[in-house]
This record gives sequence, structure tokens and C-alpha cells, in this order.
Amino acid sequence: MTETRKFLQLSRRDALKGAVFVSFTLALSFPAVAEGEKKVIGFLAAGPWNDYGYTQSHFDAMEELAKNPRVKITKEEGVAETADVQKSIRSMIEVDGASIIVGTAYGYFDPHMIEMAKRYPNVKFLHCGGYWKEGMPENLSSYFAFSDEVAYIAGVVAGKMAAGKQIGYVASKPIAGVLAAVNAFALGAKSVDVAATVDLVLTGEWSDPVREANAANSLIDKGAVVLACDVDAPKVVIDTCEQRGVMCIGRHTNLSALAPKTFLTGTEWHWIAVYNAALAGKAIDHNLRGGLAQDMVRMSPYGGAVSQQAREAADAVKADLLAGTTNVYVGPIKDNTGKERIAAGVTLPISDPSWELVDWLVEGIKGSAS
Amino acid sequence: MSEAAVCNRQGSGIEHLKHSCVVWIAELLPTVLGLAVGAILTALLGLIFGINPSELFSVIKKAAFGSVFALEDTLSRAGPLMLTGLAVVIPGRAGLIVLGGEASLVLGGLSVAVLSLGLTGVPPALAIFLLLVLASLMGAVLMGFVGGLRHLRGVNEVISSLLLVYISIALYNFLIEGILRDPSSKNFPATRPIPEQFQIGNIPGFDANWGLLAGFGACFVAQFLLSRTTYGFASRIVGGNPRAAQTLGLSVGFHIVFSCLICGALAGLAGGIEVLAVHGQASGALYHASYGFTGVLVAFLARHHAVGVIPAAILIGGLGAAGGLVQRSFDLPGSFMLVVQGLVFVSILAAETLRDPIRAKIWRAKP
Repeated sequence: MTETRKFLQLSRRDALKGAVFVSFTLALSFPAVAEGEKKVIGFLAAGPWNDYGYTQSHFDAMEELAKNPRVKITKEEGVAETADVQKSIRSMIEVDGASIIVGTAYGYFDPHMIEMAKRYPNVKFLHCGGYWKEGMPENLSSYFAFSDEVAYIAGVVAGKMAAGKQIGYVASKPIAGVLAAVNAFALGAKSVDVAATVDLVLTGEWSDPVREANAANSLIDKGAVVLACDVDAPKVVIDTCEQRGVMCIGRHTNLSALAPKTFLTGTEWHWIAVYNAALAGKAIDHNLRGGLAQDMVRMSPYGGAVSQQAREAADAVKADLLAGTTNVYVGPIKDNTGKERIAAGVTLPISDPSWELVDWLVEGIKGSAS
Repeated sequence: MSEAAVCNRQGSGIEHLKHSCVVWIAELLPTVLGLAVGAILTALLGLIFGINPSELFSVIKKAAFGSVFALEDTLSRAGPLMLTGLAVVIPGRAGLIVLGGEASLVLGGLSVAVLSLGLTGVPPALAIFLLLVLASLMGAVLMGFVGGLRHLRGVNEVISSLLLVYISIALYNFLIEGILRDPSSKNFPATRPIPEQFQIGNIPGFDANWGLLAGFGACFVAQFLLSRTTYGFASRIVGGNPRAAQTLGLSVGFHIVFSCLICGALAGLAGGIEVLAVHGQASGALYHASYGFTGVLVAFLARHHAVGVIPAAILIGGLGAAGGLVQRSFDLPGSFMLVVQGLVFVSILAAETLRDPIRAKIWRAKP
């Protein structure tokens, strides 16, 4: 063996050793670097995280976000829409070092998050469902998703499956977000069955399991064969449907596991799109809104009960909505008192600001908007 | 006077002092025992969740009293609780259990939010005063019904006041979601915001609003009223034995109705302050904090003692303040601290049953 070969051999081994050493150090140092610049994101919710509903939809997004090694989540549930909000936010910022604060209940926005955004100008504040106006702090943004399209598609499924029989709908409060969704749902049902009617019951509270169960049972007793709902925690309605063998449509998150026999589909929020943008430090619109195209809402996978015909109809509508060849609100649309709200030939996009103030129900909904 | 007699007198003086000390300790003993049992149960609850009790208590202490920020948090929660706690204590002295403070709080707050809009020309200090008086009146009228029904028709005040809460909250929601709604309050139904100049600010240098001082003040005034005036004395007799009070010529009806009026006024005041200092409008948020109901807990914790309401409200406020950090530090459900509050409450009520046997022992041992 010549000196050169010996030298080469050694150097090869050394090179290998070196490579292993370098890759180890790199592997070890990366998490260490990441650890140093972990972003702490604070989440606040009014309900419990595992409510199978609205709060759960944020929780699911949060869990998704927590997979990112650069993120540390600090979260608090059951925060009342009072000065408690400000206390919790301050504690998250000062004790946990949060640099992004996400508030998920409507009542957190004004005055609490506005106040805190003024106080901590270097912290980014995101609020779900509020409405940012000129003069409010720059570091505060509101985000919300349009559920009109997914509600419309769910309406198509419901209309097909009900096949001319009664559709029931249990909703919480008569506010724009809720009314817009039931309107879109009814329009979807009517698009496949002109005579379809939706029997609407409002409970008056975001979450009131007793009234929700009563409403669901009375709708079923009155002959509803499909039930949809829009309450904070739809579990009660879905459970009732499964027990009584009535088809049901979920809301907020994927609820198919709760009703393996009767679940049709559902409308889900997909907030992770917003949180990832905030995490990436992207400039977020003060009033960030989006729908199907922005992937901020999704449909739950079809349950076994959904007929092939209904699936095809719903998939076609979804494709058309995404392609922009059809719309949710195409005139003429009358309200359920007979007054014309959208003239024939007029199409109002779901992003039209007037939908944030809607206080009427479309023709075919049995119920009142107050 | 002989030397022996002097010694004897001194001896009896010391004996007397000793005795009053024993009486005091005996009076406090059940509460202390109740708190201790509550703490032990809390520690056990923590163990179920796999948390070291000493860590749990140190986090609770840190989050409730560990810093100026924590103290501000605790005290700003305690402020309204002092008022709603007193609202249970005062009728309690007259033998009534009025659980309806929440009703007065909600409608008192609503009347402030609505009428503030009509007072824009009035100087702020005067307007705030008028609005708070109004909130108290509104609350007083509501609870006055409860007292009146109790006195005139014998309706149980526990039930009637509790039902009145449901009616009031339903009416409140109906109004703020209907005719009184600010059209721009999109997804969060609320009345129009109060004029900015009527906002009750914070105590300078301390992040808690002036309502806290109102709470302290009310407790001391109530203590004076209950223990140093003929009203308080008569009220206690009515509470102790209404028939005996009647025989003595005391107006039982007056005491029943008047204590309910004060109850309503205090709870209404709490609602008015919440709207003017915290919310700036009347919205669902006003009853989400459930100060009216937590006040019941505070009153029983304070054993219906007006000044005792202060430490009780601070304790409950502290547990509330700790809720967030405890939840975040140990990844616990948000209801954990509510369960702790419940455990403390039940322990104190249970320990209360020891009071009579202890008192009997002390009286028998009287020198």
C-alpha cells in the first residue's frame, strides 16, 4: 500500500466521519435554533375546546398549527366575553410571551381586543368574526369565512335526500352569519327541489343543549326527514338524529363519527389557512374573508346514507361554484314574506358587504328572522 | 379594696379576654376548616390529573396574588363580586335567600346603556352619578317585586327571584337583539356604545376600575348599617324569628321588602358599573360573567357578614384570576377552577354545620 493510498483511505474514512459529525451537529442544532425563535400563539375561546362545534374547529386548526416546530401554542377555553378577555390576553403576552393572539368569540372584539391591540402594538391580534373599521389599531385584523357556498351545497344534498319531504333546521341566534347560512342552505335545497321548504327553529342562545334537543325532537315529530343545524355545539342535534334515525347535516367540524348511520355531510371551517398566513408574517387584510376558493371552508365527507344521485348533484354544484359558473345568490330571490330582495337577473356575490347585515329569510323557510 | 380582690378582678379580666379569644377562634374555626378541606380536595383533584399539588398551589398563588398584575386581575374581579355578594348578605340577615341579583344586574346595566345615550349634554360626573342611581333604582324595583310577593302573597323568594333571572335575561336578549340593537353590531348583538365621556376609568396607577372602591365602600357601609343601627338590629331579629319580631312590634313586611330593595339596588349598581367601566354597551357579555350568581357563593363564604364579603370576594376573584394560568400551565380543561370553586363552597357549607356544636361547647364553658 503506497503512502498515497493510505492517505486517501484515511481521508475517506475521515471524510465519512466528518460527514456524520456534521450531519449530527446540523440535526441537533436545527431544533435548537428553532427552539430559540419559537413563536408563541395565544388562543382564547368562550366554549370548551372539545365541543364538537365552533370552538373545536379552532382547536383542530390549532392542533394542526402545533405540528410546526417553530410554534408554541398557549390556549385558554371558557374565557367569558368580559374584561376577563383582557386579563387573559395580558397574561398570555406577559407570562407566556405570546406574539400572536387569536380570539374566537364575537364578544372579544369590541372593546377588549381593540383595547389590548392599542396597548401592545408589537403583538399581532386576530379576531374571528369581528369587523375592523378605519381608526382601529393597525395590528388588529378580523377574519371570517363565508359559509354560504358550503351551506348551499349541503342544501343540495338535503334537498335531494329529503325528496320532497320536510327539512328541519335548528339555529342559534338571529344574526347575519347564521341567517346567511340558513338562506344559502334553503336556496341549495330549492335548486334541486323547487317546492322544498326548511322549517327553522331559533333557540336564541349560542349553546343551549336542552332547547336544541327540544327543537330537534319537535322538528322530527312534525315530519322532518333531514335536519341541519347551526349552533355552537351541534352534537346534541346530531345525536338526536342518529337515535331517531333521521338524516342530519353537520356544522363547524367533521361530525360523521357521531352519526355513522344518518350523517349526510356537513359544513366545516378550515381556519388553518388563516393561521398559517399569520405565522408566515404575511400582511393580513384587516377584514380577511374567504370561502371555498380560499380553502377557508370545506365540506365534510359524504356519509354512507347519501345516494349516488345526491353526491353527483352536490359535486357538480361544488365544481360550478369553484369555477364561478354558478352563484349562491342569483335573482330573483324573494324573502319569506313575499318581498323581492334580489331582482331577476341580478347576482349578488357572497362577499357583498350587505350579507353581513342580512336580517331576512328566503322564501321557503318557515320561521322568522327575529 | 383588698389585694386579693384586685388579683381576683385582674384574673377575671384575663379570663374574660381569654374567653373572647376562644369565642373568636370558635367563630372562625368552621370557615378555616372548610377552606382546609377545600384545599385538600383541590389537591386530590390535581392528583387525579397528575399534577403535583404544591406546584398547583404555587401557580394559583402566583396567578392570583403573585404580582401587581395578578393582584389587579384578582381585585378587578372582586369588585363586582363585593356588590353582588352584599346583595345576598343584606336580605340574608332578614332571613331571605335572594338568588336573583343577576336579574337586577342585567336590567340595571341595560337601563344605563340605553339612558346614557339621552344624557350626552349633561356633565360627565353628574351623568355617571345619575346613571348609577338609575341602575340601582331599576335593580331595586325588580327585587322589590320579589320582596313584595314574599310579604303579600307568601311566594318563596328563592324561587321567585331565580325565575326572575330567567325572565330578565330573556327580556334583555329580546331587547338587545331587537329594538335596542345597534345596527352596526353585526354578529354580536349589543346596544349603541355609551358616549365616551361617561366611561368610568381606572383607579390611577392601578389597573382596576373605580367600581372596586364602590365595592369596598358598600361593604363598610353595610357593616355599619347591620351592626350599629337599629335597622340592622331589627333586621336580624326579623331574620332570626319573624313571629317574635312581629310580637315586638317590628314591621316584618318593611324589613322583608326593604332588604330586597337594597339587594336589587346593589346588584343593579354592579351592572351599571360593569356597563360604564368595562363593556361600554349592553350585550350578552353582561351576563356571561355570572357575577350575580357568584355573589351567592361569596355571601355564603362570608357567612353573611358584610365585611367578610371583602376577603371572600378576593378569594373567589383570585380563583377566577388563577383559572387562566392554571389551565395554560397544566393543560387542564377550563372548568377545572370552577370545580375548585365548587369544592371550596361545598366544604365551607359542610363545615358550617360544626358551628352550632362548637358554640354550644363554648357557652357551656363560659366563666
